[in-house]
Amino acid sequence: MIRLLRPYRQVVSIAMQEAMIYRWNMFLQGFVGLIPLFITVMLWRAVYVARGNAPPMAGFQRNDMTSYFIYIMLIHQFSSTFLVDYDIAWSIRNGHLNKYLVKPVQFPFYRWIYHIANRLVFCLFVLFPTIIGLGLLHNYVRLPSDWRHAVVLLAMLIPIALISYLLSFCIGMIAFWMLEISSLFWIFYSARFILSGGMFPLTLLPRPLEVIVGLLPFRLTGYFPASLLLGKLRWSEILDGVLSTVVWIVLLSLLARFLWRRGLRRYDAAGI
Amino acid sequence: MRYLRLYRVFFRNCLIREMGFRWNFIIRFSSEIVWLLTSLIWYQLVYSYVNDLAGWTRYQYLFLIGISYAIQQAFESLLFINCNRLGELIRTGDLDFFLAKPVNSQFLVSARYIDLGGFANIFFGIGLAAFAWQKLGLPVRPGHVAMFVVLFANGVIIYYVVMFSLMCLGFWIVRNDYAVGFFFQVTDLARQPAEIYNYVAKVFLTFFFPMVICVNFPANVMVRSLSMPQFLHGVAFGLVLLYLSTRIWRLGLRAYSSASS
Repeated sequence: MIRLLRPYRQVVSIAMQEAMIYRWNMFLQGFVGLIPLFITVMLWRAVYVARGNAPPMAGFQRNDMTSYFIYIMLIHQFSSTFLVDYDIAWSIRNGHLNKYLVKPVQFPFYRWIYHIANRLVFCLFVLFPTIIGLGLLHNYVRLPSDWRHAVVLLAMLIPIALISYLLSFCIGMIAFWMLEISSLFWIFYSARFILSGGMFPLTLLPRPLEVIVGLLPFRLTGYFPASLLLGKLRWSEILDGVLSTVVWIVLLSLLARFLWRRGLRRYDAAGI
Repeated sequence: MRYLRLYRVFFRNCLIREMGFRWNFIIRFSSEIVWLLTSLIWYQLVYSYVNDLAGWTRYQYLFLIGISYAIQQAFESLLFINCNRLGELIRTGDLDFFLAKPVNSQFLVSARYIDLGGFANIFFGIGLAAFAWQKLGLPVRPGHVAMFVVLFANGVIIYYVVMFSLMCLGFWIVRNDYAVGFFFQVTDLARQPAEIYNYVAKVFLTFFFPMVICVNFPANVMVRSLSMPQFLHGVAFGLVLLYLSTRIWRLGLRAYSSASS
């Protein structure tokens, strides 16, 4: 067992060293990531001004909305799988995968470990500075009023990131079957962004749509944790979210396994 | 004249290339539509809660979406795909091929390829804007249409200068991968009604980093209002930036280390 795990320690070390090389790139990425947040906050500010004294939308006060998008941004950055799908597709396309298949590592597992190490460096250089920076805005941010919500969120962070990762991994494997994928990935990316609540809180949707979107895993990677922190969820809904997370992790892992095995059978190992 | 003829040849060449990958064309076309769809979803949702946003009525805002899409697509299909290659050309030294040709190198580098999938989308954006415009029932004023055409081109040029300058950084910085992501996040600022920004941001985006000029100005001239001084300010800004981009290009070429010969 220990012997089997040993290669992965090297993977962690290499991934971290690689990530360190691009730390400035990461820093810029995190910093520029604040522009969309700025635009969103400004747009919603205009919406609230336009509504005047009308009752808040789905119970979201103006401050709630600002905090919501700040939380969404932090969660998205934390669980970001930016370029993971491209990277996997690229490995499949040009036969890069070969070099992993002949080694005593499991590629899906290897890729995951690599991703975690990369994210750790990201958190160090981007997320923590961002959080500290946002501390300056504390007047606009509504902190969780119930400490138990914060505890649930902390426990959920890793599972949420895992769902996000599994989704990207499955999408990346489409490259086993299709040639032109970058456009398709873009479509998936947009869909994930909206369905996770990145564009607006999902409760603003008309009721039937909200129910359908609630059945999908995407809301767990944005809307669910953000509204949890804002105290918008009842305990039954929180429990529902936690259980859905577990179920989706299992389902997506099974799907990933299925796609991986099927895909390998089709894989033509370009470059051999 | 010579350059127009040259451009016609580029266009024909790209058309022939594209015909070889017809599926690619269709997928490109539809993936760009997703851009538009996301804006429309947001639009639909927000306008189900409010009647006007920062002074923009329903159809004025729809016009803005259509125009911003058309400008974005015009820039992406005609210029962006070329700018996007520039980093690679500099790194590998393949830029030599462009420099050795007897035409303006900046023109050749910036306009050689045309993405026809995106090109078709320009008309989609224009069509959406035309629909919104017709709903507004405004009279046709030839002067305004002329100003609109100029400002539309002006917006494309400003996008181009920003992207081109970012890519020119590649002359000095070896890894310049994030430039593209940076560009798209920055130009997101252009696609919103300027009235949503607070005072400082609005001044900054009009007089220093002219994102407001790109999309808001052409939309304003057709469905809201734009004064003559504003029009001249916008066009002058575009021309000055275009001139600056040629200086940056020169400067970059001086730092260019060419292929490994």
